[in-house]
Amino acid sequence: MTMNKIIIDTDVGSDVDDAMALSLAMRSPEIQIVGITTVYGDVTIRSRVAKKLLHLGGCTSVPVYPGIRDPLLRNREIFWAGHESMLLQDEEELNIEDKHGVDFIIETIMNHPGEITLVTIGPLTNIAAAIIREPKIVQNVKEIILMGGVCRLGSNGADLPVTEHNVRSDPESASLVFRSGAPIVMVGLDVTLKVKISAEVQKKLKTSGDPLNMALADALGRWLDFRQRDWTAMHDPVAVSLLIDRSLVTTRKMNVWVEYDHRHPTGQTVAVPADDGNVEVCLDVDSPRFLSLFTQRLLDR
Amino acid sequence: MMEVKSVHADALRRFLIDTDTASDDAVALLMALRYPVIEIEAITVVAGNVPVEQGTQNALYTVELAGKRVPVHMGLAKPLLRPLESAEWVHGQDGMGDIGLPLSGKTPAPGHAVDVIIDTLKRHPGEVTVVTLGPLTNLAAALIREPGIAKLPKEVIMMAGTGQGPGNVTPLAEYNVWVDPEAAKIVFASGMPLKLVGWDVSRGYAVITPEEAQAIRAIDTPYARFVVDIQAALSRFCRTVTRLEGFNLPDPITVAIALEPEIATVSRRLFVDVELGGEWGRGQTVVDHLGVTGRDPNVEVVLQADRRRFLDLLRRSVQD
Repeated sequence: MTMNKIIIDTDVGSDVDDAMALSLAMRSPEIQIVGITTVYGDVTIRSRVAKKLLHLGGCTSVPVYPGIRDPLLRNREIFWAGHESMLLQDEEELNIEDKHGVDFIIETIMNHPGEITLVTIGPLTNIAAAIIREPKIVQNVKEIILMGGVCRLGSNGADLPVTEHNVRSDPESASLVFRSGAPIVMVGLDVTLKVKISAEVQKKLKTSGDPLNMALADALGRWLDFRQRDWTAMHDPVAVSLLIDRSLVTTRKMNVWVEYDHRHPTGQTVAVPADDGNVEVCLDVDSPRFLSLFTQRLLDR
Repeated sequence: MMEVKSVHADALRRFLIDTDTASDDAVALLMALRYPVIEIEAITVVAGNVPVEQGTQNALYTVELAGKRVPVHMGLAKPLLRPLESAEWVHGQDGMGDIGLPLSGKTPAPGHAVDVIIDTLKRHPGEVTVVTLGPLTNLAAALIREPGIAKLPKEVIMMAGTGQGPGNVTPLAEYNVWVDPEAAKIVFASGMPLKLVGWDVSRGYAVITPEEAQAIRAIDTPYARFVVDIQAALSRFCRTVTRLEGFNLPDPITVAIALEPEIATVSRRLFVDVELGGEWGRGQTVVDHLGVTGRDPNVEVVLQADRRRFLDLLRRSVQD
């Protein structure tokens, strides 16, 4: 079994899928989480939420580093659902690192050339800032598995939105990352909107007796209430699942760039197939197989 | 008999200069390096007129010529989001007029310019005057990484954009802002105490005529010869492209205003932003002279300067 050393860069706390992705990573022996960095909005709250999930999952030693709060040019609104800190209790002792998330990303990649996979499941501000400060991480990162964007080139293309949250929340950063030349796997809405879970999973998580699962059930319930829906997509867990079984998705090599302007929201990923493209764009996912892997990892313990 | 007062430590003025060192930057650096009673904490170099390695060598050469021990730190090699478009066609292949100066082989101080900017501002809160003579990439990267530093400088004086009038690389844009407009946008909106010296100020108040250049060179110190001789490529550019006999010195008048603020005779606090794209708009400094946007002023824009005082300061800088 190959061990994947990963850094997860996350805006955990808003959409429940970040917490699900962290949990899937914690519950997967194929994955070693070297550290978690947080981004977008109140990164102290997000870091505490990440740390709380690590505690609940028994991974107390994984360090969490707060990153950058504002989008790169500070010209974009920040989405804040309001329930981000619901998992936290007031006086709780949760140890967040002093080191900046961007510095952690740079140092870890440069100290372990070719070994670190970056799993980005939030807006790409930290990654862009890291590339600006140390362009060599582009050659030294093993791979960037990037939940973000949408290319609408798969079988479901006509039914998909034109833009995706992580890209349109900081299109300038996304543009920089896609054009950096780094080896990227783009896990966009093309595949992530095919993997949906419902209130039924919430029940199973709640009754499993596992403290992490029970917290996930609460967070899932809050998110379904917030969205006023009985389903939600597992965007971020699909990104993590590629480190367990790459055959869950089919991909095609493309060049990807971001079209954006000063207006908000803006930021469309334009993807063009190219043999020398630096982005493997996921076009399809075996959702039954993904969902069974996902629920097994969380529930069969 | 009058008592001669010594300069007290608490009156020490600390400077940090960020530069894409080419011919007019080098004059500006020399003026600051040879100015009494200031402490230059660091010179940080950014890609712009020339690639960052060349700019670093040019800065190191200038520091050595001035006989000073000021650390020179290399910074970012390209603008935040765009490829570097350097300006050898203005300043020469080596950025210093291609007059055969030995501009290689020197070693910069350890430490990345972006980190040095952050550390220097944190070490002396409220004390450091930051002068930027190139694209604002290093300063913007420092602000991205550590937004809290916006409160720390005493003042940030930028050779950037135009306060009024046309640009120099496009009809609308001045080079430093044009080459990295996103960085300029970040800095302009950062909340730092900003003063802008646009290209127009140099055209209005810092033109050196051929006669004045010869008079400066006749001072005949190594500094005087250096200051005039490295403008060889710039003079050709001014004559053939910007239709000016002699040359104008944007970076030196910016440093002059940083050293002696009274050299700026008219300035106004105005709202300033940057246009990022469009057919012609890239890098245009948007200056709201009439307050039509209703936005709060964020920049003190220098509109007029004292040419005679500037020339005096320049001449003093090259004397023994």
